[in-house]
Formats: sequence, C-alpha cells, structure tokens
Amino acid sequence: MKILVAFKILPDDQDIRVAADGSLDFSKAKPIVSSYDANAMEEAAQLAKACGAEVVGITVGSSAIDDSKVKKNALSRGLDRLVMVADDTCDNLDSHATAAVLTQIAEKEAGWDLILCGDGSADNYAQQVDVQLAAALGAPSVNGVTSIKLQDGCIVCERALESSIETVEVSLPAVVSVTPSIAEARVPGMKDILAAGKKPVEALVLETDLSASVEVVSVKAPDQASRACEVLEAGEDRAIEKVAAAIRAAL
Amino acid sequence: MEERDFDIIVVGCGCAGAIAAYVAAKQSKSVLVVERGEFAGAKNMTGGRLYTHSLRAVLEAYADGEVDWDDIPFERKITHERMSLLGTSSAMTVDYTSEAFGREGQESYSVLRATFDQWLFDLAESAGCEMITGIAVESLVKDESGAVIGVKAGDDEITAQVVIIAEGQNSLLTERELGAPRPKTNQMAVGIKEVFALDSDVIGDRFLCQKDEGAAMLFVGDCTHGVVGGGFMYANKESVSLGLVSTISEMEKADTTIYQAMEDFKHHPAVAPIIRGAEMVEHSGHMVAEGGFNMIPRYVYDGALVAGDAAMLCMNLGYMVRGMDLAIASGRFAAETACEAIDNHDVSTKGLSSYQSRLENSFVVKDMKTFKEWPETMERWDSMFSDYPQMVGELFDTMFVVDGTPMKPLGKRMFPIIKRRGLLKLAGEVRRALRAL
Amino acid sequence: MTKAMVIAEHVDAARELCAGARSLADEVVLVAFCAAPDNCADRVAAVEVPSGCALDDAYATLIPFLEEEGPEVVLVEPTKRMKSVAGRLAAYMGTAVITDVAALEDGVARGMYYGGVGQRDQRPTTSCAMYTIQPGVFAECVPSGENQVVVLDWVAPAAALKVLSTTPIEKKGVDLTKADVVVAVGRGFGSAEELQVAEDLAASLGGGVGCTRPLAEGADLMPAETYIGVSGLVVAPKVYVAAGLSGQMQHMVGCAKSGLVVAVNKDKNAPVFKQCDYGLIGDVATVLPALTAALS
Ligand SMILES: Cc1cc2nc3c(=O)[nH]c(=O)nc-3n(C[C@H](O)[C@H](O)[C@H](O)COP(=O)(O)OP(=O)(O)OC[C@H]3O[C@@H](n4cnc5c(N)ncnc54)[C@H](O)[C@@H]3O)c2cc1C
Ligand SMILES: Cc1cc2nc3c(=O)[nH]c(=O)nc-3n(C[C@H](O)[C@H](O)[C@H](O)COP(=O)(O)OP(=O)(O)OC[C@H]3O[C@@H](n4cnc5c(N)ncnc54)[C@H](O)[C@@H]3O)c2cc1C
Ligand SMILES: Nc1ncnc2c1ncn2[C@@H]1O[C@H](COP(=O)(O)O)[C@@H](O)[C@H]1O
Repeated sequence: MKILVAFKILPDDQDIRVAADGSLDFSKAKPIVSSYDANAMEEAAQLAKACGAEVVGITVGSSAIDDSKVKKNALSRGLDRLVMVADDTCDNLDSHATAAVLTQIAEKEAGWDLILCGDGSADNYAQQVDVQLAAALGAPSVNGVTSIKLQDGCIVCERALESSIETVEVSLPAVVSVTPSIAEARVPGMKDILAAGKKPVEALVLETDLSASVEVVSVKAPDQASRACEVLEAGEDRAIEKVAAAIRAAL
Repeated sequence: MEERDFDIIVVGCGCAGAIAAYVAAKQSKSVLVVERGEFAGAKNMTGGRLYTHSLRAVLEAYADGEVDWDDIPFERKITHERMSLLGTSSAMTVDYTSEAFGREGQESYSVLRATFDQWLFDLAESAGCEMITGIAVESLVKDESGAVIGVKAGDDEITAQVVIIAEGQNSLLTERELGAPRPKTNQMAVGIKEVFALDSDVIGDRFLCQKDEGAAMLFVGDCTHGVVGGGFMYANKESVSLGLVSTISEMEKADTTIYQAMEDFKHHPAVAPIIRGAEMVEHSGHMVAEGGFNMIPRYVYDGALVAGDAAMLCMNLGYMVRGMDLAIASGRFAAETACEAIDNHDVSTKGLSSYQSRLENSFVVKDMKTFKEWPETMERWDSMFSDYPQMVGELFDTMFVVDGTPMKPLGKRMFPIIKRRGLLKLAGEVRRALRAL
Repeated sequence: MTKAMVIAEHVDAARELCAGARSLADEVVLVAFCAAPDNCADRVAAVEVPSGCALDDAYATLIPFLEEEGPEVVLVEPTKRMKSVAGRLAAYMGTAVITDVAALEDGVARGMYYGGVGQRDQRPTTSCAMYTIQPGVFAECVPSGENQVVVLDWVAPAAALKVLSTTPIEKKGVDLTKADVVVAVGRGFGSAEELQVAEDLAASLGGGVGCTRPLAEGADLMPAETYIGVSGLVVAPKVYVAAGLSGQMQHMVGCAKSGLVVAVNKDKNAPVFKQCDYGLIGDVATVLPALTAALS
C-alpha cells in the first residue's frame, strides 16, 4: 500500500510582522510545515505502520520551500520520502492550480491508494485543495475526518460535521482530509531527525499549465479594535477589585 | 575504541558549540550538534559586542579562505567607546575614539545573536556536521565506569567518543550529570536586554558615527539604582541594543526590580533621546556568571569537555560583559583536544587533559586571572555604583548651573560635595580598583 | 441578464444567500438540501439525497444543472459538506472557490489570511465566480421570487461514498453566541479538574465556558463545538474573559467584537495583553477564584 500526504510549506505566522503601512512583512518568517498538515502526516505514519505501507510526502510551492531545514523537519515526521515541485511560478497558487500541480505529482507516483490532506492550510484555510485534487484525479473524497479504519479495498471514516457525526465508507483510491484531532503531531526525536537527513527528496520540474482563477487585490493587517490594555500584576493591591468593578460595569 | 554513532557530539550551538563543531568537522571527524532552539540563536542573548580576534584565528587556521570576512553578519564596527556615570537625572560621559579600534585583529563589532548564531550554525553545517535543532539534550549517557559516552533526549540515545558540552550559562548537564556546583546568587548576575528598531541613518546621527560604524556605550550608576552592575547600549545596523546587568543577590536587596530599573533606564535623559520614537522589537533576559577566575569549575571529564559559558568562561566587569570571544576560543580548544584524543585512542580525563593547558596558556584563562580580584572589589565597592555617579552629577551641576544667585568661587562650591563622601575613602577605593584591573 | 445560484443545506443560510444573490443578479436559482424558504428565488431545485448516500456526492447531480443554468455567480453556505460540493463544481468549471467571505463588494471578496493576521481582498478572474459566504454578510438584503420548483434526479458519482451512520451531536450547556459572559480557556489549563475555576466564574456571572482550538482538538478537554476563533465560533458577549490562552490571531478574531475583554495569563509578554481592556498577570488557578470571590 502507498499513502501520499499532501502538505503545504509556508512562512511561519509567528514571525510575520506588520509594517508601518499595514502591509505584512514576511522577511523574518522561516518556512515551516503548515501546522495542521503535521497531524495528517502523523496519521499517515500510523496507518502505514499498521499495514506496512509506504508514506510519501508531496508538496508544491515557490523555490523557497526547497529549504534543507524544513525538508528535514517534514521528513522527521514519519514520511519515507518526499516529492516536491518548488518553482517560483507556484508561489501562492489558488486551490485549483495547486491541485493541478499535485495531480502531476500523484500521477508520477502512480499506484497510490490514499492521499491524506490536512484540515486546511494555515494561510488560506480554504479547505479546497483536497476536494479539487480528488476531482482532478477522479477519486472520491471526504473531509472533516477524525478517524480512519483500513479495510479491504476501502476505508471507514468517522467525520465531524457541524451538527452530527457521520460514518462513511470510502472506496480506495481516495482523498481524505483529516482534522487535527485524528492524531497528535509528533515532536520529532533525535533519531527521527537524523534519519530524516538520509531520506530521499525528489524535486520535479513543473509540467503543469497554470492559470490563476483568483486575483489577489490586496493584503493588509486588519484594523484592530483599540483596547485599553491596562495590565496589572494580579497580586498587586486592589488589582482584582479593579477588574471585578470593570466587569460589573460592563454587564 | 568502541563503536559509536559519532566521533563528537556537541551540545548547544552558540559561539562555543558552533565553533567546536566546525573545528572538529574540519579535522574530518563525524560531528553531531544538538541545539535546543528551533533554530540557532532563537533564544540566545548577549549584550552584543564581539571582539573578533579569536574568530579570526579560527578562520585563519581552518577556513582555507572559504569564508569571506565581509559575509559575516556583523552589525557595526565599534569605533567609539563611551562611558557614562549616571546620576538620577544627570550623566557625565567620556567619549573615546581611536584608530586602533578598527585595526584588523583588534576590532570589535556589534552583533545580534539571531543572525550571528544562524551564520555560525551554517558554518558548522557546511563543514559537514549533522545538525539537530528543536531538541534539548536531557541527560548524558555513561558507561559502567561513569565515563560519558553520549547524550539522551526523550527515548533516544546517541553515542560519541567525546561529548562537548557548550550549553551556555546555568548548565544543567554539568550540574546534574557531572556534579559541578551550582553557582551562588552572589556569583551570578542577571542581564536583560531590549532591542529597538531604528532607521540606519538615524542611528548614525544619534550615535555620531559614520555609516557602518557604531558606538559602544556603557553606563554605571543610577541605571541599576546604585546596585552593582551597569548598563550598555550598542548601535546595530538598524536597531539599538539596550540592557542592564546586575548581580542577583544585590538586586534582591535593592528598592526595585530589574524590570523597573530597565523602565527607568529607558527614560533617563542620557538614554531616552537615543531611542526616541523607536519601537521595541525584542526583549530577553539571561544569566551571566560573574564569579570570574575563582569560579571556573572543572571542565575536563572522562569522555566530556565543557566549553564557553557552561564552563563559566565569561568575564563580567560590571560595566561590560565579555564572553563570546572566550567561548569561541574555548570551543576551538575543546575540539582540537577531542580530535587529538580520539586519534590517540584515549578520551579519558587524562587523554583530554591538554584542554586545560590550552586554555591556561591562552588569553582565555590569562585574562580571567588578570581580572580575578575585580568581581569582589566591585561587590564591596558600593559607592562606585551609587554615591560617585551622583556626586559627579552634583559637581557638574555646581559648575554649569547658572540661576542668577551670586556664585561662590568654584573650589568653595565643590568641596562640600566631595567632603560628604570622604576624600580619603574615595582615593583608597580607586587605588584598590585599579589594582584589581 | 445576470444569474446567481445559491447552494445551501440550512434554511437560514438559504434565505440569506438568496437575498444576497437577489442584490447581485437579476435571476436567482436556489439548490436546497432543506425545505426552501418561501418566496426567495425564481427557481428552486430540490435535491433529495437517497438514504445511504452522502450529501457531498450531490456534485454529480449538480454538474449538469450548473452547466445548463450557467450562472455568473454561485453563493454557497460554508459547511463542510457544502464546501466539498462547491469544490467539485469549481474543479469542473476550472475555477477556485473563494471561501469564508466576510464582505462582498463589486465581486471583490474580503476574507482572512493566516487566520486573521491579514485581511485579503480577492476577485475571481473566471466567468463563473464561486464563493462560500459567512452568515451575516447579506443580513440587510431581502429575498424575493416565485420559487418555481425544479426536480433534479439523483445521479451517483463513480465511486460513491456510503454513509453507514449519522449521529447528531448533542449540544450541552450555554449557547455561547448568545451569552453575556464567555470565559474562554486555553492551554494554560491542563486537566478537566483545573477547568472548574473557569466554570465557577462563568456560572457566577451567568455565562458559559468556551475554549481555544487545541483544548477541543488534541487535549480533548472541551467539546469541539465550544472552540472560538477563525475556524470555530464567533462570539460577541458583553464580557469576554480570556484565561490561560496566549491570544493568537486565529483565536482572537473569534472574540474581537466583545464588549470588555479581560485577559489572565501568567506570562506578562503574552500577546493577549495587547488585545485586552484589562489584563491580570497571574496563574489562572488563583486569579479566577479571586475574581469569582470579588464578584460575588
Ligand atoms: C546581558 C548580557 C550581555 C553580554 N554582553 C556581551 C558582550 O557584549 N560581549 C561578549 O563577548 N559577551 C557578552 N555576554 C556574554 C556572552 O553572551 C556569552 O559569554 C556567550 O554567549 C557564551 O557563548 P556559549 O556558546 O558558551 O553559550 P550560549 O551563547 O549561551 O549558547 C548556548 C547554546 O546551547 C543551547 N542549549 C542550552 N541547553 C541545551 C541543551 N540541554 N541541549 C541542547 N542545546 C542547549 C542554547 O539554546 C544555546 O544556543 C553577555 C551576556 C549577557 C547575558
Ligand atoms: C488554520 C488554523 C486555524 C486555527 N483556528 C483556530 C481557532 O478557530 N481557534 C483557536 O483558538 N485557535 C485556532 N488555531 C490555533 C491557534 O493558532 C493557536 O495555536 C491557539 O489559539 C493557541 O491556543 P492557546 O492560547 O490555548 O495555547 P498557547 O498558545 O499554548 O497558550 C497558552 C497560554 O497559557 C498561558 N498559561 C499557561 N499556564 C498558565 C497558568 N497556569 N495560568 C495562566 N496562564 C497560563 C501561557 O503563558 C500561554 O500564553 C488555528 C490554527 C490554524 C493553523
Ligand atoms: N501547496 C500545497 N502543497 C501540498 N499540499 C497542499 C498545498 N496547499 C494545500 N495543500 C493540502 O490541502 C489541504 C487544504 O488546503 P487549503 O485548501 O489551502 O485549505 C492542506 O491541509 C494540505 O493538506
């Protein structure tokens, strides 16, 4: 069995600065694995362990994602190898175009049974690439999945919808997007990291025609409601009383 | 020798660790570096001035011309030294600049650890070291005889012929695993630092420096509310580093906390105009050893060497802290010793003992010895940090304040101020201090 | 003559999106997986999902209908299953859905980027514009129409999902979107017992307890439907107490419209202190009981 995990590499939002003109400054933000995709990797690693499958990480992005540290980090999370398209024309693709490039990778990795996606990318959180990818590959897909059971030729997934829990059977090959609760992302250990340095990474040449279906008009920091920010040591004289009074006044 | 995963494991990728790893890898040893920060420099702090002589020596010996000095991410070359005695709202400043400051081998630069440590990390990695980040070594692996043979974190153990411990100040590994004594609070100072973003030209203007050049400013007196310690301010490319260092035991007795002292310091008339309008972009706190030479612990063990701050190789002179150049040199010596010992098939304390002679014959231990008495002198010399700065302020006030009241001759105005402090006491203290320096 | 299509699975969303569609287009077609609201569209396609089939698979039924209708704009309710249907339709049309739109003006959709760190305006460049729309965007608009019924026969896709069971989630406790006081707990709480102090404070003020996402997913200390933020609930109580949470944007966008925001955190540098009216530096285990006592 072969499991692909689609994960995104993007700038760490902890290090995005807001410039004086309200634009976002990414210059200090290092590339990291999109946080909820790490849960998908862990689930893939656990499924693979249970049935002896191979796990291949697949990702698309600008040339900045071809970074030794982030590749090693991804590979230390239970992947056997990594296949990527790192091309500057693939920076900030929309979900349709992203799926098209991922399709190129998946077709090269023919014979896969399952593609796992995360709950959504940390930047777009569109929850669309998984569905678009399934459509492009002609495979069934299911989202919001909180548990996966492998069966003969199919999987049984539990999914969390807004007001119900649904159990669905999905025939393989299939694309599944999982929520973070499916498996806690591992904190890679020293041996995971050392082994990661030796795992194969393949960079494919982009062979997909890309056309954007969405144009970004502007990105800026939102106006924040200005708040008083009166911060007190809780042990300070009368601090609690002061806050209690403010709460009473607000009700 | 026993089969091990690596020849050398280095714990910590600060100045000492990165250089140790680099030097060992350059001698064709297999090296693993384990760094706790998500990236090198993530949590490190320093005042920010590097005396470059020891780094230059390492590169001269090992880099084969591969490293271009101009590619090292220094901030500014320090060409001005300023010392200020601060009263509550007064300051007397001496500004010194000399051509000697810029001469190759003597020059110093301001640095920011986030970028400088990244460079050190890349240097080690490009020399072929295996790098692990985001993991703290939790304990050492030992054999039946008690010799160190590796490191442990989580469930993973990795072994090596020699482990170089370069985990910086407050080294838990040497304390818990090797029995090094825990420093007393009067042997430790705490440092806090804030970094303020400022336009490069504005920095040049406010520090009165040429482009790419900067000033080092040191402060004594009111900045620590009269407690032993001092303040520093360094000009970086596009930011200013401002901080305070103060002895923990003394600060505990003081009328304030170091955080409050920092707030007041920022508003002091000698400081406020320089950082006016600048946004604080980073703040950090860290320990500094200040016991000096008398505090250096054992740093050679069976299968392990200790380098840099972890071995207390750091000099706190009150008005300045110097440790990075010592860390770089000790990291180099540790690696050279370890490589030699591995080649000689003896990594016991005895096989590694030349580390001690290397350190003792170098500036590292010699400088620390020269300043051996200083920490104690400083501790006893309260007035240096409280009375005198205030006194100097009052003296200058009497000289320069003109308010229309008829003036007495200068000598008559100044004498009572000095008398209050005791002339003889002052002279004695200065003599003692000079001897310690 | 412009045409808009609305796809929804809940009546309230169907009504609001139809009203919005009416403000954008001359003709409105509704695809409803629920009872259609009265007088809201020109045509209403009712799709019956056969038992054992998944609503997600309705895309196979809708693709020919979409092609036949050829709308310029498609507005979709932002639920998991609808997002899945919309994605399939978009893939078929060769476009991408702009999701979780918070404002729509002249085709330019405003939404969040990095969970609220940024605000992004986007515009579709394809002939069919598809959006999922957050509730409230068209609250001011009024729906109209004859509701002419169109019946679509279910078309199963090639590899259909099989629904084995569906269990409704029982929502317990206070409706946080309507409460005057919300006490939100974060990873500063390590166990169910520790949560008691938050529950006591909420109870004493007649409010409810919400949480950050890691507490509901991963830590599993709180029910999934109680987490607040970009991917969870959006609340606007009179008083929001943010306790033991760091104040990441992804969380704070869920409570930005609250009246008074009080933060309790033991780390004085926690970002939440820059987004509160009052901050108390201290341990939740002692500060919350002290607040409860001071308020009683
Ligand atoms: C306020 C202040 C001002 C100073 N000013 C100056 C100055 O102007 N000039 C100067 O030369 N010196 C200055 N110093 C001293 C200087 O910063 C230190 O001497 C120097 O950084 C020591 O280097 P090091 O490599 O030994 O330790 P560090 O730089 O502290 O590096 C230790 C590394 O080990 C890592 N680590 C720690 N524990 C573990 C673990 N268990 N496992 C894995 N990794 C671990 C840390 O993350 C860190 O990267 C100052 C110090 C302070 C606090
Ligand atoms: C795509 C995406 C969507 C997301 N959507 C959401 C969302 O909708 N809602 C959401 O909440 N998050 C969301 N997140 C997660 C979000 O980014 C943060 O990770 C999360 O909000 C952090 O939760 P926290 O504040 O509880 O935990 P932490 O960030 O770990 O903070 C815990 C805080 O508790 C404090 N603390 C610890 N112990 C104590 C104590 N005893 N007393 C007082 N204080 C203490 C600590 O100082 C710290 O500040 C999303 C992330 C992604 C990538
Ligand atoms: N550039 C990408 N490369 C690989 N996988 C991606 C990429 N973008 C999104 N994905 C996957 O698709 C999921 C949904 O992404 P999104 O639609 O952007 O929210 C993510 O959680 C990933 O698993």
